[in-house]
Amino acid sequence: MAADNPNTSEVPIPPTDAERSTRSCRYCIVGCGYEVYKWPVGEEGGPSADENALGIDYPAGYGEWPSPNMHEIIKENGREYHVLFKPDTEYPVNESGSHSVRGGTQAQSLYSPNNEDYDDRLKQPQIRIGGDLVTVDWDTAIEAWARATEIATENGENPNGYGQKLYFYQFIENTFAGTKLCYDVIGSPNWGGHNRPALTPECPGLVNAGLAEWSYAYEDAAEADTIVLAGADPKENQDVIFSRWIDEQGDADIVFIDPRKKFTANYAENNGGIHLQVNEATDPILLNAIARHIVDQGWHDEEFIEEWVMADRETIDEEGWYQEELGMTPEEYYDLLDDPRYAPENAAETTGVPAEDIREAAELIAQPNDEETNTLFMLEKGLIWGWSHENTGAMANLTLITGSVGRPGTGITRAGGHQEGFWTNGAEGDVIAESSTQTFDGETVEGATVAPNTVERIRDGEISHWHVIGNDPARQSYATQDLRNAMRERTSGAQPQTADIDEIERAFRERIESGGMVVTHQELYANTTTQYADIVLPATAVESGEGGDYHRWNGERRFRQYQGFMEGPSGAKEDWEIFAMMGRRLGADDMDWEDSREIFNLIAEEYPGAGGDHSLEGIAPAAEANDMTPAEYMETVDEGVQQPIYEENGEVQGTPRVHAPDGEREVMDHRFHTSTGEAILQRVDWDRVVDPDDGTTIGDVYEQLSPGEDEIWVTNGRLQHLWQNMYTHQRLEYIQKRFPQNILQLHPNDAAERGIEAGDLVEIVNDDVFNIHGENTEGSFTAVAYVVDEDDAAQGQSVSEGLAYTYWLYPDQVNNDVNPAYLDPANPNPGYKYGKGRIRRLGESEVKGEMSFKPMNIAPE
Amino acid sequence: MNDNDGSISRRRLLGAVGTAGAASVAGCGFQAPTAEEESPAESPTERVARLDRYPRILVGSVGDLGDGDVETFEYPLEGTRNFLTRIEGEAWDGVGSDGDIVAYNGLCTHMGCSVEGLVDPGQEMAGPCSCHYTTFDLSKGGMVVSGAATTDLPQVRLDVEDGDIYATGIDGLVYGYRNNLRDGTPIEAAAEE
Ligand code: SF4
Ligand code: FES
Repeated sequence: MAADNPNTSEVPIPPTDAERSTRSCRYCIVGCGYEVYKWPVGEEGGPSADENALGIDYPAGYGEWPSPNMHEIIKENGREYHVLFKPDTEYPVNESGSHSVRGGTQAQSLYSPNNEDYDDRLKQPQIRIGGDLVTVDWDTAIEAWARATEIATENGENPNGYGQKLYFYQFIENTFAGTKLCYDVIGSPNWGGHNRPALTPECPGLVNAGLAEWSYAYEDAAEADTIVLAGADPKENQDVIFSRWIDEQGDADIVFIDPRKKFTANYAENNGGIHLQVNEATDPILLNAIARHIVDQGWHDEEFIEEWVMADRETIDEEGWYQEELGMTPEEYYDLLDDPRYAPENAAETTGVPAEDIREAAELIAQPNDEETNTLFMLEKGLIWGWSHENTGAMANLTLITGSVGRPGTGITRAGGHQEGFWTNGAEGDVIAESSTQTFDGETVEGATVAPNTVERIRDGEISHWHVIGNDPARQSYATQDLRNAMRERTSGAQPQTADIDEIERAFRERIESGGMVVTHQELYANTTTQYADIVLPATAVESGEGGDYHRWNGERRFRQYQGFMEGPSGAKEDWEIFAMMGRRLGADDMDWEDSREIFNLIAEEYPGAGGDHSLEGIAPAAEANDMTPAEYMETVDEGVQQPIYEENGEVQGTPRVHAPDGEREVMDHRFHTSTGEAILQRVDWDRVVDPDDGTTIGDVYEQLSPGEDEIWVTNGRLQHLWQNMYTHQRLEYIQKRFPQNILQLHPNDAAERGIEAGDLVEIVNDDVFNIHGENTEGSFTAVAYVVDEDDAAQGQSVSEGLAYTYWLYPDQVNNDVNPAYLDPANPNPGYKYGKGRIRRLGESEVKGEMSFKPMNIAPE
Repeated sequence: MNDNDGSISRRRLLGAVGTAGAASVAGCGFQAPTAEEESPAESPTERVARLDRYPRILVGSVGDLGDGDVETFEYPLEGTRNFLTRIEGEAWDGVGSDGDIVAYNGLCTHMGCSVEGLVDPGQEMAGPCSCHYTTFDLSKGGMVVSGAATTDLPQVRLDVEDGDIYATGIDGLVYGYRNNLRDGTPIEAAAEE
C-alpha cells in the first residue's frame, strides 16, 4: 500500500469511543496543539455530532475539517487502526484549528509497516562489516559502541576522543539522558547540537546582553504596534504565529528586513509597514543606522536606559570575558554609532536600503509620538546564521534603547526552529572549563576557554568516535563537501570482517590508532551521515507519538506533555533507553530508568532548573499537593504552562513574559540576566577584529565572502512546505508533489544571462568556500531553477539581481556544500547564510512539467 | 494593517467563512443521495474511484465562456459551490480546443473560506484566500503555490460535447466533507444523463 492518495475521495469519521490523546505538533516552535483519534479499521462514527468523537456535524465548518492528509492507517500487532491527527481547536496556541501545511499533514508522516513509503525506516541495529551494513542484535551493537568509545577515549584517560552530536529539541527526557552520557559518564566536552557545532547560544548578542532568546507571550504579537521581522518570516516558518497572532488578532505595522521581496515583504508594504530589502550580509550596518537615527532624533528611552542598562565599564568587565570583549556602556555605544559608516546616507550605499526608508523604519520602531514604545522585535536564522554576534547584538541594542521589553505588546524573541526540549544535569560547565581544547583571543581578552567546535574536531582528528543522534551533520554543517571528504578519509581504514565483537574491536582499534574514526548513527531513517556509519542504531520516533510520554516547550515557553499513542518498529528503541544501555555499560549506576516518565519525574524533582527562564520548579510541589507523580500531574495540565513555572495553592502557575518589570515576576531574581539585573549593550562594529593574528575585521571577511566575477550570492532558508532535512517530507506524496527537487530562485535577468529558464536543472559551484580555520575549499550542489517571468511577477521579483535563494536542507541537493566556514571566534556559530557561487545550466530537469512555477509572494492588496 | 483594526479583520474573516456551513443547512432536508443508494457499503479505507457514480450535469457552454470569465455552479450536492473559468494557457485536465477551461471547488481546503471571488484567470491562480492567503495554481490541478492548505483545490472533471460543458466528477475531497457524495442533497440532474 502506498501512502493514502492525497486526493482521496473519503476520510472516515471516528466513532464516539475512539481513543483520544493530545500532544503538540511534531515540527515547529509554535507548538500548535493536536489531538489524535485512534480506532480499529472496520468501525466508523456517524455524520452528526452525537455520533462521532469529534462532536461535529458534517459537513464540517470553519477549521473543523479532518482533511485527507490528517488521516493515516497504521498497523500494530497485526491489526489496522485509523488515526486522525488533527489540530486541537481548544488549545490556546491555535484555537479554532489553525495549522500549517506541515502540521496539517503529519498524520501522513506516521510510520506504518504496511506503507511502502516507510520501508526504509531503520528497524534493527546494524554494523558495517566488510563494507556493508549488516543486521546485528542490540547487545552486540551496544558492546561495539562501548568498545569504540573505550578505544577513542583510551579507557577514559582522554575523554575528548568521544564526540556527540545530538538534537536540542527531541524532549527533555532524551536530551537529559544523552548529555548525561557525554558530559557526565564519559566526561567529554565535545558536544554539538543538531544545527551548530558547539554548545553555544544561538543568539549570543541577546544572551550576553542579559536577554532571553524566548521571552515573550504570543499575545504580544497581537498587541504590538510595530513588529520588526529581521531575518525571520513567520509566514514561512511559524505559520500560526503569522496567521493567528499577527494577522488575525493583531494590527501591527511590520518592518520586514530581508534580502528577498517575499510574501511578508509585500504584506508589510500593503498594510502600512515597510520592507527593507537589505543587501546580503549587511544587516549590522542597517540595524546600526536605524539605531543611530533613533538616538540622533532623541527617540530613545533615556529613562529606561538610565534604570535598566549597565553604564559602569568595570561592572561590565566583571560580568565575564564575553562582556569584557563585546559589551558596551551607553556612552561607548553612542560613540560607535557616530561612525560615519552608520549615517543613513552612507549606510544606504552599503546596504542598498534608501536613507529615507531607514528613517521611516526608525520612526515605526521608536514611535516617537506615543507615550510608550510598543514594538516587538523578532529575529531568526537570517540573522543568527550570519554575523551571529553582530546581528543578534544589534537587535538587542534596538530593544534596549527603545525600552520596548517586558510589557504586553513589546519584547524580543527568536522566531523559528523546533519546539525546544533541551535539559542537562548541569555537568557541562565544569567539563568544558576543564577539558575544552578551544580558546578565544580577541582585541581585549586572551585565552578564554570556549565550548569546542566539534565539527573542526572531526576534521582535525581529536574526535575518534563520533556519536550522531537524530541529525545529519554530513549535510547539516558548513562547508559540508569538505567535511564529507574528511569523514570519508577518516572512516576508510580497517573494517571488521565478522560480527564477532573481538574482530570489531580489532578493526576499530586499528583504524583509530592510525588517525581514523568510528561513526555511530542513531536515527529514524538512513541519511547521508549513515553512509559513513559503522554502527547504526534504530530509534523510536517519539516526536510523532511512538513510544512513551514526553515533555517540551514552545516559543512562548509553554511546557506540556506529549502523550504517546502508537508503537514504532519493534526493533527500535527510544533514545533515552539507548543512552541508558550505553551509560550502564560504561559503569553508570544511575541510568536504570524504566520509562520516559521516570526520567521526567527525576528532572522535576531533582533538576528543575530553578530560577531560570525555563524553570520547572513548581511541578513537583504541585504534583505532591495533588498526590501524583510529576508526569501524572502534567497529564492534567491540558493547556500547558508557561515557564518559568512556580507553584501556588497546590497548582502550577506560569509566567507570561520573562523580562517583566520588578514586582511583576514571581520567580526570577533579576529583570535581566546579569549580576545587577541591568542589561548590557552589545558592540556591533563592522571594524571588529576577528583574527588578532592578522588584524582581519568583519568588513574584511565580508569582502572575502562576497561574490566574485561571474558569481552571485546564494543564500538559503525555509519553504513553507518543507521541514528540516525532509526525513518525513521526502516520503510524503502531497509535499513531494510541490517540491519534487530543491529549487533555486533566480532573477530572470540572471537566468537569461546564463541561458536558464524555469524548470532547468542548474549547478551551483563555489570553488572558493571561505575557511576561517585554514585553506579555502570547494563545494557544489544542484537545484531546479525557479524563475518567474516579469509579466507574472505581479508583486515584484522575490530575488533581486545578484542573489539566488534555495531551500536549506533538501536531501542530496544541499547548499551547505557551498556555504562558508565562517564562525565567530567568540561563539562558534556558523554563517550558513552567506554562500555564493557560479550558476550553470545542466539541462532540463525531469520535473519541469510537474512543478508549479507561479510566484509565491502574492499578498492581499 | 492601518486600514483595518483587529475586529474588522475578524469580521472579514467570518464573512468569508461559512459556505460549508450553508451546505450543512441545506443538508437539513436530508435525502439520501441517489449515488449513495447505488453504492455498496464499503470500508472507508478502500480508495476506489467513484467517479462513475457522480452525476453528469450541464454547467456551461464553451461559446459563452470568454477569456477571463468566472462562472459558478453547484455540484454534486446543493450548496457545494464550484467555479468554471477559462485561464490564460493550457491546464492539466483542461477542456475545450485549447485545454484552457477548468472548474474547481470554491472552498479553500485549508480551513474552508471561499476563494470563489479571488480567481485570477490571467495569472491562472485562485487566491490569496482571504483567511490565511493560500494560493492555488489552476493550470496544475489546483496545486498549492504557497500557503497552508493540506490538499489541492478539488478539481471538477469536465467533459465537452457539442459545445456544452458537463461536470462529471470531482478529484479530491471538498472542504468539510468526508465524501463528496454524502451528507447533503444531490442537485437535480438537470441535464441529460
Ligand atoms: S505552525 Fe508549526 S507547530 Fe503549528 S502546525 Fe505548523 S509546523 Fe506545527
Ligand atoms: S482558509 Fe484559506 S488559507 Fe486558510
